[in-house]
Amino acid sequence: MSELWTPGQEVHRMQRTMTAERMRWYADAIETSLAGYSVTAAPNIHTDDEVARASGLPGRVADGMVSTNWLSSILVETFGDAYLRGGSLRTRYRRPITEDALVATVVLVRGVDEQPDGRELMLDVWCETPDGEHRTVGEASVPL
Amino acid sequence: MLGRWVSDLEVGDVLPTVEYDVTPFMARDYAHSVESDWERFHGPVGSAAQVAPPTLAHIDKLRLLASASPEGAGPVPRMQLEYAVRHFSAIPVGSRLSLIGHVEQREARRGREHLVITFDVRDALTGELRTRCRDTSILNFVPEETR
Repeated sequence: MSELWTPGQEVHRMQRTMTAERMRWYADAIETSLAGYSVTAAPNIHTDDEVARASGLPGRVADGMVSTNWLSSILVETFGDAYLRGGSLRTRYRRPITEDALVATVVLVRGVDEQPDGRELMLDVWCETPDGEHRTVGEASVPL
Repeated sequence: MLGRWVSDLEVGDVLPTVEYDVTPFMARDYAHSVESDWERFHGPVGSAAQVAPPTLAHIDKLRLLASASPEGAGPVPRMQLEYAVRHFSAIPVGSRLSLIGHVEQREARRGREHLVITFDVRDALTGELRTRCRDTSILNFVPEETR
């Protein structure tokens, strides 16, 4: 399978707008997962501009895990069980993503690493805004 | 409980172990919230079981922190800085999971207090390792624009 992947190759690029609704969906999903039933999250920096401004932010910002989830979804949809059984993902949040920002979510091949127990596809991952700023950056791996 | 707030946690603290059941609803709702339409997050596909989205590990971290520090972040907001996971096997819905973690690091960098916790997600019945996680957050977050 490694011959399918070459360094610099884009595995996937997806564009979405970080709407207030998307921020709300994730905030509610956190509380719902914790409770085990549908819950609406209390106002917080991801759902309420006033709460966000009180924390020194310009307005509501997306939970970093929204961009991580978009990257993770690409990995799962591209590699399926191989990712779930031996993959890795690391994401770092450099700057918050604000409401209505257009976000490109990108997964790019860095190369193939030889490991004692097999080969791993190494990937660079990031979320960028139209000005080219990488707001979320990281790396991922998938066993081949 | 280790302290009132997450900001009370210290290096070496062992977080109280948490166990819970992964339900089909949890997997489906979480996947739906982030617009992941991979079929097996939403139900079984043929003989393949429905599985949990791997990023549910983030919720596992919140479960651990809530157990250790029930009153939340602390006097100032906590902001996640880095999420890192390695997956060892998929998590079928219906699994009972055990979360075992500790505080690996706490240090000030450029005026910001970083907290690193690591934890394992294991099958509570078999002990099989499902996911290993390392999470870094800033305890005294102040946006750059206001610093």
